[in-house]
Amino acid sequence: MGMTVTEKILAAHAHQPTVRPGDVVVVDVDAACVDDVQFHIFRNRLREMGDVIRDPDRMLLVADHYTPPVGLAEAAVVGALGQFGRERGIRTFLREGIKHPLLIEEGIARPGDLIVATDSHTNTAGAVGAFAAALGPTDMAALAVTGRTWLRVPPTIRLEIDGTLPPYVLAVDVALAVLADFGLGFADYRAVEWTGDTVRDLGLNGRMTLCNLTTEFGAKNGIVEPRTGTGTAGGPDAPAGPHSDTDAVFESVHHYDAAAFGPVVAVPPSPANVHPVSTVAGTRIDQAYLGSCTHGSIEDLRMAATVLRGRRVHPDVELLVTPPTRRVYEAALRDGTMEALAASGATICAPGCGSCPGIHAGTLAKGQVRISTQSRNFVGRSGHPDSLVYLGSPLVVAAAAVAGVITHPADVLAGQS
Amino acid sequence: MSTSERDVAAARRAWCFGDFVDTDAIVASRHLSSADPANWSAQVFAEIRPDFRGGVRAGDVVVAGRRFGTGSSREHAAIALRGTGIHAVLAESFSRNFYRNAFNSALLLLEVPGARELVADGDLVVVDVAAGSVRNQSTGAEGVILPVPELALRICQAGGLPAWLAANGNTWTGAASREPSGSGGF
Repeated sequence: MGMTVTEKILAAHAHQPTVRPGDVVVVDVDAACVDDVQFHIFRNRLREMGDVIRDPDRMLLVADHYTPPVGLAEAAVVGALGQFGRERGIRTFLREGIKHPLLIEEGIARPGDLIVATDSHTNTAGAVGAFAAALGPTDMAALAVTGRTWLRVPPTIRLEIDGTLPPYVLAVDVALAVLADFGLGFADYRAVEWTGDTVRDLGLNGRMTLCNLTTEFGAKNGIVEPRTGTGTAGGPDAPAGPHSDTDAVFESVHHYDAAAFGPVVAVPPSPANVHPVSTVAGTRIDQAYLGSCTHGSIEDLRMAATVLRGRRVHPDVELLVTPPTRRVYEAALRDGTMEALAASGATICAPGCGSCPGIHAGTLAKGQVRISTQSRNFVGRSGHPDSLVYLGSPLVVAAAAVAGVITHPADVLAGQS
Repeated sequence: MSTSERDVAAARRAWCFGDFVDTDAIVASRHLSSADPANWSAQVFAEIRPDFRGGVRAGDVVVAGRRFGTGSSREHAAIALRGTGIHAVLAESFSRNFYRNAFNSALLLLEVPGARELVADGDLVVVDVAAGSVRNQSTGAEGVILPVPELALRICQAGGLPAWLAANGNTWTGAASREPSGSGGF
């Protein structure tokens, strides 16, 4: 009996010839990343467990939610994280951006690797064909002490997308439509494997978005089978890695024709509450947000710039742009993307998680409405409990920024707004 | 976790919630930078159930629908809930991150099919993990608790992962096992 790509990676890291769904295995990891939000808990637990780090070379520290700090408490966390990294000889990123695209940009997450991080969107790194899953800071402290952790082998749901996406349709439109079909958490405790021509041709940026949103599916990990030469700007080309066997056993397989997708918006308060952009057109917005790990590459900013170049942001709208990483920021400066965004009236923020978690620049006030490229729109996610967050692609967000209301990107590009 | 006979027989007040209670709703992001877990505990359900913190008593249970603990993987949510003194969370299902974090912090999570139909807010319930049963003392209705994965239960009974790991000689010896697929977090 064959294995899925997820099963192969887990078996290899458990030093076993095979694993089956339901097996609890003790595994080696290639990289373990602790972030600023969970650093306090990690640090305290590590002390409780003896304060020894078995393999500092496999650990990473990333400050991405709080940087640059807005308050004393956040400043204290980031300061302590930096100091800890220096003292223990751990590779530390204090101002380079969000861990998920960073893991890929830095070449830390590679095909066949097993990656864990204290962040629910760790699934993103599955875009390169790695097994990447979230792990809490207590588990991370135990991993630091023992050098290993345990995982239960998940059953795999396979999603096959074939064909050519229609104009104005991006990876996020595909993932949100799938989420709407099956519901929030449909992949709880499971692996989600993306495959098919469309996925192969999306490029690394689109595959990062697909894997990122498997977190909202409930998946333990999202993964794209690595295929030679399909990587695009924003990261290295993905070399060959493990594939699912032709006789691998999937819990379920679902096939989509890419031509059936259209630009969509997820209406608050759930990412699964998905509607065609045309049905919510005219919804007034106060803020438009381009950022977050759901759109972690230069391609996403370039896409927004195709709408914003030569146009002005609506006078009643605040457009915030948070480059996901410093490298993306620099690339966007070099190729004119950033100039186009800034000239349209956008406010450019420092690389990081930015305004998505509601603890940094751009927090929403009571009653305010945002449209965003982020992945979550739960009650109070980005500010006041009575604020609203609509989710959409960089094209949809940029179009809304210009129009002042949610609108189809084609309408703005045609000059109707 | 407490498993004495007396505790098993105890009738516990239920605090009921709906589907998809996310970790932002358990503890909002702006409280996470505090280093003191008491500050997280003080904010539990502050926005979705403002009367919870003042009213909850040690030994009470939280009852919810599908995917309790969804969203952000912040472990603060599990630690804060544990800090309120509740005995357990009974739900249809849990988010994987929350599930693992909870057992690591010795917060007992129990998957109970039909939990929300079985229990209404304010009902008194009797929870028996060993027998795999839950009884609504207020209505007489009975429900089933799905088996808790053995490793999770062992970690919880030890008082959380640091204590379990110390007792296990800082190794994972004995952790590998086989669990029924498709239920029980992780």
